[in-house]
Amino acid sequence: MSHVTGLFARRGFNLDAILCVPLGDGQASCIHLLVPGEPRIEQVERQLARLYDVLEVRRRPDLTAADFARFLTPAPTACHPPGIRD
Amino acid sequence: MKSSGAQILRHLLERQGITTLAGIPGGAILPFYDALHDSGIRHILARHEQGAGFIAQGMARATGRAAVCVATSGPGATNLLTAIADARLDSIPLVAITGQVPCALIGTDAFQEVDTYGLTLPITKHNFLVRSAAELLDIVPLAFELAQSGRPGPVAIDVPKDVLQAELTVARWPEPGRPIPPARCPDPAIDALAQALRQARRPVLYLGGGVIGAGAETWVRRLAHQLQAPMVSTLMALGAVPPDDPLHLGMLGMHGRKGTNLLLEEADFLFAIGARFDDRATGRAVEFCPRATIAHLDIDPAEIGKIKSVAHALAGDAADVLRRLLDRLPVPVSRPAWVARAAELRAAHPLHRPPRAEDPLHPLHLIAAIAGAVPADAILTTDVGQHQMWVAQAYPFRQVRTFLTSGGLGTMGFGLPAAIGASLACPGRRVACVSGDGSILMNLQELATLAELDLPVAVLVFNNAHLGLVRQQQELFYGGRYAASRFHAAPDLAAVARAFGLRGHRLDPDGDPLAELSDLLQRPGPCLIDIPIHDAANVYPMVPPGAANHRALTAPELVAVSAHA
Ligand SMILES: Cc1ncc(C[n+]2csc(CCOP(=O)(O)OP(=O)(O)O)c2C)c(N)n1
Repeated sequence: MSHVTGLFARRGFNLDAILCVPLGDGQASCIHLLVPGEPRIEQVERQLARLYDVLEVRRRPDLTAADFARFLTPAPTACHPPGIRD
Repeated sequence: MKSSGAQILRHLLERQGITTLAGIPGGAILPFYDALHDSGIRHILARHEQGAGFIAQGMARATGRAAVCVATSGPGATNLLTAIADARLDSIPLVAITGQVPCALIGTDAFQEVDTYGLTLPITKHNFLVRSAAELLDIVPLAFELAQSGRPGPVAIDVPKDVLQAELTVARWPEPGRPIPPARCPDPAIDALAQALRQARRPVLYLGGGVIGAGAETWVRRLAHQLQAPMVSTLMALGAVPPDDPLHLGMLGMHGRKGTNLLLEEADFLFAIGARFDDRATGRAVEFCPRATIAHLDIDPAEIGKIKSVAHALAGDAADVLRRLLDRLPVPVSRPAWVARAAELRAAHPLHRPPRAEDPLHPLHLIAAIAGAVPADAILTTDVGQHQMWVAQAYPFRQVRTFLTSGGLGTMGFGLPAAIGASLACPGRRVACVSGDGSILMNLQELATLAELDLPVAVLVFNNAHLGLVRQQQELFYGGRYAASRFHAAPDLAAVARAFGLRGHRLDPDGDPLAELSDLLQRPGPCLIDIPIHDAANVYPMVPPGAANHRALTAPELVAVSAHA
């Protein structure tokens, strides 16, 4: 997880939201990253793919910012998707 | 029989073939040092962890194999960081092992606790915090595999003290970690490139450090000659192709010769091999090779298209791809006009230097004298600054891994410990470290290590009483407003060397300094030679940072003499 988020900060890629879900026995997880309007999206994918911890990188054009927002607990203060901004 | 984590770690390193490592002990890593006590592994006691990191780098750069450095937790680990970051930017296989406070104390601000995992995360290829002695059995071989596979790089392993002390019975030892061959570049990409190269009218091969990393230097030269395509080299590629190959135009970029950069302006096809379009090489990237279609071959797919968009993308091992490419180019291509143009540009823009009799201590004369005094397989390391660029411009490197320099990070303090490491890895070879009077002070303490090891390393300090490259930039780009670039007090470096137990000399400018220099270099054993040079000498050409390469500034007042004359 820190390898993935660190990459975005380090390379100055835009990142609006992160959603991380453990898979199966917790040995692996699936991380959804909301990367709106990042012009270097191919670079983002390649840089992610070269991380040793990353098993696979896939684009999900079917998901939108609203999908990320849906996972939020309805606490009144949490009005933005949690995530890292650079 | 039970072994401790420390013994397991030591044995795993032995199984990796590690015979020498460099480090400094301290509390958290002491169990490992205890295990080293009855081991065949030779430990080089550096005098600063950064020195240990660069000694390991020197070993790795000279051999291409992963080398190991060791430090304790906290300040030991933070002192290693610069050497790790340096290895990352130059793709050097390095395994850095650090002690950590016991697991139960992690996160409590314990004595000498620092988040080494967090600190090394952005500067390593991969990093590990070991949670149990059993994990060492997976992590250590994996660290060596990762450091040496694909594009090499540093891997950090942080080991808590209680993990080193834990006892475990090892039923089966894992296989040592080995480099994994990269995925094979598909044939159609090579077919298309072969055709494009055949059709190009003014092709240039742009060689990077990856050529040396892949051991592809022979294939590169064959390709250049088969295609009659001139070659240009980055700083990291020097040594891959000898300077007197008629198709080699030497280093491109900020301090490359004018003719080399002009040739790239005219090229209609650029084939980048193991190079990453670094800004010091390309200048203003949008104006780099404006007329050229670009093909890029690299072992790291993420490099392709990072700076320039390319028409031909080839990810794979350079030696393998070039061999297959040559199979597709059986008939030599003839390009007399283009080759003549390259020769013309090369001849028209030599390096400038004053006549030898007038200023024998001009750096380019010094470099020629060094080259004349040491064998062709001598290894040169440098620090960072003007002296580094003069060496890159003028030293006739003819073998791979004979030029070790901090390219990507540009770390002052690299030269001396890297020279020690290279000498350890290549016994019997002459090693020289060309340094500046600024840089040498940054890891000066390693003179003690050198004296102790008594290695054939000569430290040559080009002493201009300044942070020369900073002074040069202030002269050229900051209106001559010199700030903090001049040393008002200077140590007597020859005396300093003697105080460390080494031969220390200062060349006499009024005698025959070049003859004296060759004479001193013939003598065996370590030494430091302090060489007074002109404080206003500049490295030319120089492209202003951020400008296009054709905007290079040159030194019209100096007489032109070819550097290799
Ligand atoms: C660790 C580090 N600090 C600062 C710099 C910035 N820097 C680049 S060259 C240079 C001057 C180097 O002076 P010296 O070693 O005397 O070499 P010269 O340029 O005089 O040959 C400095 C300060 C650097 N590259 N590395």
